[in-house]
Amino acid sequence: MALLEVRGLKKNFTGKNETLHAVKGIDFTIEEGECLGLVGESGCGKSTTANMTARLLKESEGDIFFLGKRINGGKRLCAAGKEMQMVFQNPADSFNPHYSVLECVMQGARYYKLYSKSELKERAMEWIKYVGLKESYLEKKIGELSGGECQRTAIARALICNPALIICDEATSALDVSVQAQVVELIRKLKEEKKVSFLFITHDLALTSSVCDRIAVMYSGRIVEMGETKAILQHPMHPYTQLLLSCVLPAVGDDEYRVPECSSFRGAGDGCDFYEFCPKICTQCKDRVPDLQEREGRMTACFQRGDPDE
Amino acid sequence: MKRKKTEEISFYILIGLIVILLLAALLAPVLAPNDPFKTELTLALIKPDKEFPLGTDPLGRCVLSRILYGARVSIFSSLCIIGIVFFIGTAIGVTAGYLGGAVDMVLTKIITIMQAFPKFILAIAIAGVLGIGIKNTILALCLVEWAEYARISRNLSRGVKQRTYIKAAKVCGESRLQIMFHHVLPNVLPTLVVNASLGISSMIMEVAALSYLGVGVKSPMSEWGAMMNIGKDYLQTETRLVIIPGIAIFVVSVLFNLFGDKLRDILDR
Repeated sequence: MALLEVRGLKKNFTGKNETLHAVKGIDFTIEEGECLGLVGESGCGKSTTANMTARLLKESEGDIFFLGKRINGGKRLCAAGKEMQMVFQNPADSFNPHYSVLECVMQGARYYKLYSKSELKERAMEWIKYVGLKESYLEKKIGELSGGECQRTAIARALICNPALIICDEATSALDVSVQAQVVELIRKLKEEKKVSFLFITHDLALTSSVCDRIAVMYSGRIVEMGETKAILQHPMHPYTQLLLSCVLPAVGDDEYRVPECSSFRGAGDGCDFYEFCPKICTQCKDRVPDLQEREGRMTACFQRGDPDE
Repeated sequence: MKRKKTEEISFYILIGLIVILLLAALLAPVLAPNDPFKTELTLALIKPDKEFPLGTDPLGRCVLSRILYGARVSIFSSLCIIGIVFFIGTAIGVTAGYLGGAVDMVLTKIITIMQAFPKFILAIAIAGVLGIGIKNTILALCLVEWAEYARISRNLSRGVKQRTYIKAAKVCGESRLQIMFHHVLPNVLPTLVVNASLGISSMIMEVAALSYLGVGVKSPMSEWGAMMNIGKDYLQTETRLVIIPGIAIFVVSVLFNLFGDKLRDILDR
């Protein structure tokens, strides 16, 4: 059985005049020790999915199974428990500014009452060391730390409960490239040594290749393509994934490079959300939403499901 | 750096002055040269001399002794009101702001209704209905003042609620009550404390104003506003009867205002 199973998850935000369909029914699973990357442009519903999975946001429809138990459906939102932890995008803001580094890390396990007081402190110190922070940092206030150090503290806080799954919601987006690499390295180490699973949410495709085993590409609230990271990055099948990959700016200056036209169009009609921008549009695209179907070892939601070179 | 030090020194000087003031009020029975409640018509309206350093009032009571005793009522009743409204207002505001939804809607409506009344007129009406006396004055002012603190703490709490560390606390398994106590309250408290320290001076004036209007303290209890009320009939002949308690109110208000200002500067750093 999968560690995390998400089935038909939907989220609608109802405003005064209109309803925004932020997540339109997505399914995915994460196995033990696996890292699934959820990628897509801003506003495609990645963070909404993360928040629903972590039980910070109530879903409109769908089921979430974690460790074989359904964790949604209750009257009130309730944390999934010590087995599921989360690392947030803004590292400095994810801690109470009055707390010291030690208190921040201890916060992770204090309320689950896993350890005695002295044991809790010991464990916190162990994890602080594990994530690469010096012992002199213990009493420092969180405001005195750099972004990377804050994110390491956040990871230590998540780890103190020995979680089975850590949701990283754009955990590296606010960090500079060298610090990003350090955090990614730490996540890889955790995967290998502690067999922790990750739901890694990012808009940075390059990052997914170094951490994720599989990736799911989201567009306008739906997963449009899901499969092995390497296969998707090298041979994207869905026209949106192809477009997303071509949007990555070249590292070395290229005068020929042109930014492809792309926008977070949210189709309210019956057809595929992407058909207005799709270069491979066919007759069915306007009338029906393509299902996520398996082809060549991956899931794709496109009628064409064409070869990338087509 | 030098400015920071100067600020700190002036803050400690202010604290020192406030401590002296509070001690003077507390030690009034020791410091007062005469009995402040003893009326002796033969000693009425005596000019300041050795026995009565600030003279006597129309009933022959020592003005200096009454000022010292009055400090107890004015300062401690104001501190008491601020303490009560701070506690109630913060509790209601944080609950409304953090819980949101129907709880917030109901509590905010009550706060809005309370704030729609002209505060001082309502206080006069409540004190008038409840009867003269310091307890009723405190109660009347508490009833009209809590809404302001509730409004401020509610707005601050709503801001804190959006912060990522509240989400993180939820993931860490903290209950709503724990989040309110451990994360919301400590982060809204500094602003509320500054507001409360600035509110002490206006509270001293409100207590004095109620007493001046005759709905505050009961005679023969000494209170600065009540002293001004007695003095107003002798404004042209014995100006000191109004000026002395006026100066007392002014000095204490300025001291607490400066204290609040400095506290804000220090907490803002």
